[in-house]
Amino acid sequence: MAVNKTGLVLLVTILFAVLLAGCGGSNNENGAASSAAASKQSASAAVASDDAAQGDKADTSKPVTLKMVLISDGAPDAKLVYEEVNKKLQQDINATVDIEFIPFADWQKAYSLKFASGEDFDLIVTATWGQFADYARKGAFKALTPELMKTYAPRTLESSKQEVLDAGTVDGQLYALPMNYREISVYGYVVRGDLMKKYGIKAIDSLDDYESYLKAVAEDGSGLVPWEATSYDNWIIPHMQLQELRDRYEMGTLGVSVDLATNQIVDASASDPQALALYKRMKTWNEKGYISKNSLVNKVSSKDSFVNGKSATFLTNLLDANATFQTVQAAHPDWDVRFYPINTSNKVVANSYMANGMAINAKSKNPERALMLLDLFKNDAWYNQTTTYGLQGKHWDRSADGKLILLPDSPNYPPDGTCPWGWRDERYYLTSKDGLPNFDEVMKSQRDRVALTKLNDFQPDLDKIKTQQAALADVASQYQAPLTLGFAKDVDKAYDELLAKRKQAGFEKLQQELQAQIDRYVAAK
Amino acid sequence: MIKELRKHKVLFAMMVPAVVYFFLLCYLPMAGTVLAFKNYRFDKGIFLSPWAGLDNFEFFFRSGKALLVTSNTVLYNAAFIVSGLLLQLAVAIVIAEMGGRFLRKAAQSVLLFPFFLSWVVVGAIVYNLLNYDYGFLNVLLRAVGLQPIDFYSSPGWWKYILLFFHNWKYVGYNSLVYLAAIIGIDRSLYEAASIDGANVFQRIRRITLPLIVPTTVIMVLLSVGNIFRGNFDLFYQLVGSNGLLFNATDVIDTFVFRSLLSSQDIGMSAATGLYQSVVCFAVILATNALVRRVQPDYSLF
Repeated sequence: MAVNKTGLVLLVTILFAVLLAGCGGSNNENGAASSAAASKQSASAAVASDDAAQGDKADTSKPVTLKMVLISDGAPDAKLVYEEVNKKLQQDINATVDIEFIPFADWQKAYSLKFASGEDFDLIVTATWGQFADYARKGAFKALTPELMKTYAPRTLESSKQEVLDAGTVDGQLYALPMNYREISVYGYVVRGDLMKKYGIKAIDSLDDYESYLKAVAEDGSGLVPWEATSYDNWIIPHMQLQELRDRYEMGTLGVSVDLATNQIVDASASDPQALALYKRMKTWNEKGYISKNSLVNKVSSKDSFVNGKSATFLTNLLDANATFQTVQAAHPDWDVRFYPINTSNKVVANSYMANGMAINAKSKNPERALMLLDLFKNDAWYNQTTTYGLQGKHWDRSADGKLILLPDSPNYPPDGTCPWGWRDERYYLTSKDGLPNFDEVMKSQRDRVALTKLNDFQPDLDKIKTQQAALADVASQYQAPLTLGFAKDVDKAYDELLAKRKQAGFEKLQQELQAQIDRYVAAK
Repeated sequence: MIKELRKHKVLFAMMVPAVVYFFLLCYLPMAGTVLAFKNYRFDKGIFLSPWAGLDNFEFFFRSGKALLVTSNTVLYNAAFIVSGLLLQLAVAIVIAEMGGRFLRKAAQSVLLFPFFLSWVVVGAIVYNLLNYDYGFLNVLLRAVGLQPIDFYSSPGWWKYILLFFHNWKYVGYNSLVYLAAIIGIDRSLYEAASIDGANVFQRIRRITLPLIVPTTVIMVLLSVGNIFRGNFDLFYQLVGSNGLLFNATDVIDTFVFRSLLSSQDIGMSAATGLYQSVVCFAVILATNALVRRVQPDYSLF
């Protein structure tokens, strides 16, 4: 062949590199992880033997730096706030803390990589919505033995009721410290009062009222998108209409709902006329443009769109609505933002205390100091409120009647914005002075209707049903999401398909296994 | 062997870094494949976690979608390979034949540019082109009085959209290899052909194409070796979590990502990865054997 020789050598080199690069791929992470894991293990063994020698006195002679992983998009002043926190931490427990924020987008991926890659960190946020029990069973968290707790977190033991600690317990071992706060998620509609006045809508007390609001906005021709329905808020309507308003309890992220009266799992592969009717309604909303045509693909959240004046409503929980109210009030007082709760007469199921909590990495080199830090954050008003609201006098202040006042710098460290949820505490959590006018009223009305269920602290063991769980997760994203947003062209057909796919994905097996676990759990309680 | 070593010692020395690199980063981590058969525990690590038998494979084959996503992956990749090959060859030949130096460099740069955009950016561009309310294409359609098209709920379009953007992004870069091969061809052949009166098409047909066949075959073999691996970034960034399109756009990688995002079972994702590797390995062996039967000089090994 009459091919120039240098060219050939060059070519072969390139090709060889390409060929070999092909076999590289993602495998290299694993190797690194395993060796890192091995070295961590020996380190933690060494620490453990140190403990035993010390008995039950906390030793803080050596300065340490703790690393804490939180899920949040961060805040401009987070560094400033934690600098102050660190000054005090150094005096109190001779430690400083570095915060790493995992952004909300695809947080699940980053979260599990933190453990799988064997990264060196000490504290991490965990929750029922973050598969707390699953991670605990897979050995991600350090077990907090009674001895550890007594030595390093005595104030927490004192301040937490047994039911709080129970919520952080999996298979008899305490793996996380749940927040000391009985949280209720109050979901509702956030709408603009000025538009309601314009269209003559007095209140939004039902889905019908909400529909008239959307209709009025859509027909106004002002170019305002009625409802973006992206990401976070588009599951709220089906959740409320099909579960909470029918006295059902939706379990974590499993997509399984349980009848509150009987503790029986509802068969999600059987036809449900109410669901079908709701999906049909959503289809008309979609067709008439009440829901944005881009809701399945848009990456801008409904809330951002609302705050920026691009859309007329979004759905969220009361706390977030309150924060939104405060943000908007500063920029557009004329909007008259209002919040209408969806559940106005039914039972309200309070969240598990483990709806937020903090755990210690099983591979942490300084679990004792990490536990001491949590003890401070959970039981010291200054630490708790500084991490939650920012620096007093700069970001917030306390009114004469003990309420939260936000100062002009607050947007740089929004209340509750940097994931201090894991150490939230009833004693230090403030209601805001200039929040939603109906905040207290809504809260009281909900608290009056709270129903406790034993299932709150039930930690399903997914090991035997992980195949079905994965298949059902896929079915939900492919077949359910388009239905709930009204994208399915033929609702009856799409709904039948959803049911068939659920059956095929093994819903029955999942139901049987979980039901057996629930029965055992309820009987034991 | 020793004689060989001595004779080409410079060449062998040049190979050492690559061999070390691939041994450390490709061969050693292969031990991690055991994850596919393990019930992974964070505290025990890869090798000490308990065995799970074939449980981790169950999810993929029981899902009822194994066939669909596998065939989607293979068909998309086959389309990428064929269309890519034709376009890349065409681009390389045209650029090689282009007269002006400035024009040639300009054309090459323009074609190369999309390669440096991340898929996230491409995803945003596509969204702004195609979305229903204010996408550029739909604004254009409305302006000329046509019905706007709701691309994001019409699976039928996506075959072409994905194919277009895949080629748009990669043609410039991949044609470089062919360009290098064409430039490596002895110029005297072309001069002789011109003297004999061959026009530009005859020169391409009789000289360029036959002489870059070996390169072409190797490139095709290399891409066929990855035919069971979907380009996750392409599919995920362009389609996202839009369930309406999944039947037309789901490849193995996006399906596994979505199913396991909430449960985060590392063993199960490792199992699917192993499945892809094993099938890829079989395919590359088969194709290579086929090539060797037809023309032994062109096969990879």
